[in-house]
Amino acid sequence: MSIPSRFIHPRPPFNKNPVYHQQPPASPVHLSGSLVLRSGTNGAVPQAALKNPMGQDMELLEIKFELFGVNQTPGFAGTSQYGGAVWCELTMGKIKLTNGSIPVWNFGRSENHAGEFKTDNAFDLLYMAYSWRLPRPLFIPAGAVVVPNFTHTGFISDTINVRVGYSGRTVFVKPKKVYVPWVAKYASKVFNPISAAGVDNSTELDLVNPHPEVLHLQRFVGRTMSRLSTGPQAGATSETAPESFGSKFLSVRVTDSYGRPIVRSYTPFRDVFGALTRSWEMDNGAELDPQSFYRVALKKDAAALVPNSQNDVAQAFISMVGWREMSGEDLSSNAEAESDGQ
Amino acid sequence: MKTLDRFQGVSPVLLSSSCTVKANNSAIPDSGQLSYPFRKAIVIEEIRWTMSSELVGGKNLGALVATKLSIGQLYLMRDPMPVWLLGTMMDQSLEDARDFSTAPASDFGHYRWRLPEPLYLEAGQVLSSWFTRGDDGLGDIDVQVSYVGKTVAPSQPKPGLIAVPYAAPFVTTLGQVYQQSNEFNLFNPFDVPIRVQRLTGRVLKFAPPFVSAAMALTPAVPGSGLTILMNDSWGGKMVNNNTGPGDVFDVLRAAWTVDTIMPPKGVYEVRAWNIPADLQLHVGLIGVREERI
Repeated sequence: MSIPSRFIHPRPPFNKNPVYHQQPPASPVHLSGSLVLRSGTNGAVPQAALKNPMGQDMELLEIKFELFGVNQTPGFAGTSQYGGAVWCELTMGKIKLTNGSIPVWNFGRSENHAGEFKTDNAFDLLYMAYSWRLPRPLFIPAGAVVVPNFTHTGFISDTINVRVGYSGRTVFVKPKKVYVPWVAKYASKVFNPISAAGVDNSTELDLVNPHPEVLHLQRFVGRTMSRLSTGPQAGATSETAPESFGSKFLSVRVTDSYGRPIVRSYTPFRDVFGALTRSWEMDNGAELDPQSFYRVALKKDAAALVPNSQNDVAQAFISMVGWREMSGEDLSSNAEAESDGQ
Repeated sequence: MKTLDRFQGVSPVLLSSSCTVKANNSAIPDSGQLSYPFRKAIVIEEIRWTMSSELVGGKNLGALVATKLSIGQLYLMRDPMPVWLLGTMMDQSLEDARDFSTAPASDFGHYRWRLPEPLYLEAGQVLSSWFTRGDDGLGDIDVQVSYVGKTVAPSQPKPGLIAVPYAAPFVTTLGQVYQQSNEFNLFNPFDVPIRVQRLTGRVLKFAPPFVSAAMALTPAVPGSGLTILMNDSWGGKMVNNNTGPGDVFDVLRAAWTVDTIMPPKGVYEVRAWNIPADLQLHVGLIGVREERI
């Protein structure tokens, strides 16, 4: 029996995409660079490390972020998570791939939540890994480079070592049509995760598609980060403690530019951005109109219970990940213009 | 009209509602909140549940709460299906997340079911949820259910046939050493075939106030632990040797992906041996069939 599902909701022909399926030979290539970020500073990875050493065109398929450092809360390794404290802005020449800086854990979905965060308690060492498989391969002309600029927001005091990796392949055909990723984010105000109520709203400049093309959505990603301010673990951050912040007290409502409901009723944060993946997958099947936006309303209820938590600040991060179409010529001229001058 | 042309795209949609399910009771969340407010067709691709309980203790709440879903007369479950049997186990730690930040401490369970095929809902139709629990005596459980999908582009023609998911459970009775499913458990009640996507299997350790998932791996000593055999309608062997449920239903995913066809009125039979008094075997059948609308 065949189940005719495609008539219900046809998906983009990802497997037939002539750009994705380059004819051989197409050699794999992995590029990486690193930097050290002190709290509250920013920096960039040397561009030479992220340029295709073969001097040929390439396609970028996946971006990986590794964060590691020494927890500056001695004796309490395993308490801090860095994914919300390090933000990254991606540009390729004149082409912006992100709407400002994006928390690195807000690009991809959490495919192995337990594996994102490892600790070495003997040395107070912390290791975090996040990856983003691009919705469509990004064509990078020879000589151009996707430049990541990192910012340590200062939400925590730890110095963080950042390594970024680009996984892709060298290609030999210049496509006529290319797919350019676009990521936008909304970072909420800081809430009290337990006792106090509060509200916050995104603006039309946050989760926005500023381009003249339709944005095809890969996913929304939603994460929360809280920080302890008192007690022996003061300064340590967590994504999951208190669990009630995301699962119960913080709820989300989303509308689009025209007021149409995307999330109809106030819904717990972890239900909107599935707790198991921290994301809401669209499979590239939903769209955001050109020059339009989503508006997020957050509502934090006060706990009716007796709080005994030391977590007194928490923040929510919501990102929108998608792609738009562009002609290969436009991309090449805009991507290379900047890099030629470097 | 040009203005209306801007509404031709496909938007993401999330509809959500909640209810409280008491022990030995049932509850229905507000259907109004689970319906799309504009009269447009939508497809549902994923269903998520978040459950919470304020009683202290380790509890996998998705094992205690069962659900039935239906669109009018089209039902997705004939019998109540424990929520944890609907999808694969993606992260065990998130199915039983604790929060000690408030007093009393709370348990949270997160579950999701990525439907085998997107479920088409005509304009005005509602996918109704109904929840029920046995007499476990473990206090109230708050359930939040969310439907995640997209609007259907107006240019898409209304389909004549839709794919409707179907799920059926077999749950053993506590305290019985041997149990066998019957022809009304893991069966196809329809006159059309079901494409079986997967079988799911879990083992519940029931020792109140703790109710948790047990691994139930194949025992080291043959005959010393819970094992199962499975047959199809014609006696064809599905699990030929007595095997632990952790082996049949991959411990990491609590699922066995099969991707096969079950004929109309077909049955899978499960026989379970050596069931310890505090363990309960849960087996689920997840598939999809065609319905004419």
